[in-house]
Amino acid sequence: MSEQTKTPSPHAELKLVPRKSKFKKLVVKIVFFVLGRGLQSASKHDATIQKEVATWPENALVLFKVLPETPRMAFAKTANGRLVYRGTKVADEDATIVIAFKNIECAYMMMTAQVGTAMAYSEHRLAVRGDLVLALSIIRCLNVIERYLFPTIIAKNIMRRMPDIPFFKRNGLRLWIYLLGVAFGI
Amino acid sequence: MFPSYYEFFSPVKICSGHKALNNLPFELDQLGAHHPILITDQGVTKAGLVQQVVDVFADSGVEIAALFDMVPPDSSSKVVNEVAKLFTEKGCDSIVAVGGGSVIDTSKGVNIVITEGATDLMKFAGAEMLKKPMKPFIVIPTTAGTGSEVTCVAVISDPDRSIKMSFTSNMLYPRAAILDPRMTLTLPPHITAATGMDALTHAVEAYISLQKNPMSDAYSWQAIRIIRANLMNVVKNGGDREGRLALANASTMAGIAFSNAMVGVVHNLGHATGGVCHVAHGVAMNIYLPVGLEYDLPKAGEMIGELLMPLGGPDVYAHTPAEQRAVKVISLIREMRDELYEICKLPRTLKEANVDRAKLPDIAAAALKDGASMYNVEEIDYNDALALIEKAYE
Repeated sequence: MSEQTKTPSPHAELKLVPRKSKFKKLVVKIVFFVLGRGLQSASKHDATIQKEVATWPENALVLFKVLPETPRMAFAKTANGRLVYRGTKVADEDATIVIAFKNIECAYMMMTAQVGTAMAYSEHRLAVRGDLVLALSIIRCLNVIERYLFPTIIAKNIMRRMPDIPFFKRNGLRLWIYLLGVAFGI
Repeated sequence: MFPSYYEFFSPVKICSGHKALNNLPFELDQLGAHHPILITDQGVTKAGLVQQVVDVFADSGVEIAALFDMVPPDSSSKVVNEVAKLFTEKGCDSIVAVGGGSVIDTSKGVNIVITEGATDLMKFAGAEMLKKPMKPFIVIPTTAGTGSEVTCVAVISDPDRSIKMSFTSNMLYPRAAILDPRMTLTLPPHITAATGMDALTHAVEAYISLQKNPMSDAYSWQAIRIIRANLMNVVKNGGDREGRLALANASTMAGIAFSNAMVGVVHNLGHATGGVCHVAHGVAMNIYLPVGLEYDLPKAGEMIGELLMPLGGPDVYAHTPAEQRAVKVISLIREMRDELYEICKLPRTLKEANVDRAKLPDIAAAALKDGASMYNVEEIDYNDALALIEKAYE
């Protein structure tokens, strides 16, 4: 233990304990999981996502996290050009690109569709560490998956323009993702 | 609408005036720097500007330790590494950039390599990759357009991969920018015109971007007013020192605006056109500005209309019905372009800029890789980009 940690803080008697928002953290964790598994599933069926992923570097590993550490979620490009959810334990240094929400409030707002990706990015709510061209492509994929995950009434409020996906395909794949994609990643 | 959240950061000290350059040694001394490297290009050297910079060091106690005056029009990582090597060999302690966008971006790259002790600059490409405080860095712009003297961005090409990489970090801000009209007096009319339209585009796009905020709006507004009041005069009469100083300030103000609000579709297409067809950035801005504004009109009409006040003046604003102001702004910009074409043949279309029509799909594809699209009020996909480029062709 270092000398610094042995010395009691001169402010220790204040006992100021920040209140943690367990609920918001839980919501972000759940949506991260749905997003990761949803992307894994959609990358098998959606041509727009496949086209975007084809431009990514081989084995690209994308990490989403809330600063400073958690919640976090990663997904990677596979050898056959699809996406695979890689769980919550990927380290920053292993990631090709890190998309970090500055705090849990920012992540909660975006994950609950109160703010869209472009606006969140414009409002500095997230920081990108890595190649910006790759970040743009990831954001385009997020727009597509959000179109599947969110109903039109919500999607139209958070997107500049909703991706043009035919009605039956959109709702069919939405059903597939929620029933099978999220649970089994297929 | 007031933004629900915004950030604004502008840490660059501005030294502006007719003899501002003479304060350079003092500013370096304030930063604890006494052996700067001077980074510039052949155009600046041939115009005699380097000698003017050298002269201000007489009896100053600050000594130029090295000079690199071979920066090419497109900054590249190879040149950056070459300059960084010179910096180390000559024991320099600071950087003075004298030039336009390429020189300033190269200097920012040199600062990255030196500070990070990097052998591969490209390892630091992207956003927020830099953590260490950089060497003292002062910029003396020799054009009034790029605004790079007040931005935290550098765009440097990787010749091995034939791509342009962007570097974004708050560490990249220069410590000071010196705006002295002597530095832009020798600019020929067509470059004055192109860089002026670049600055105008920065200000206009910052005003209508998703990241706009009350602070950036204030800078945009003044920049537009000053450009409108001075650009034509200065293009016609290059020796107008007052006008030159005003334009230098407007360019810097537009730079502060877009550094904090970003730009949109016009820059998106302009970057792509520059990358694919090597059209000068200012020329590309001149070509795409009205087309881009028309594209954004349905979503940004009110904001564009507000710009009639600084662009047209109070009389024109007052005599134009509110619902026609945005269209009037675009028509005034078209009039400016026509006037500039009359004076110095500044291209208004891709055809006038000798762009090969067969390259248009390549430009549209390249636009998808440019970050400026993220901040535009309207989404831009490949088909949108191609339609706009076709519209700007002739």
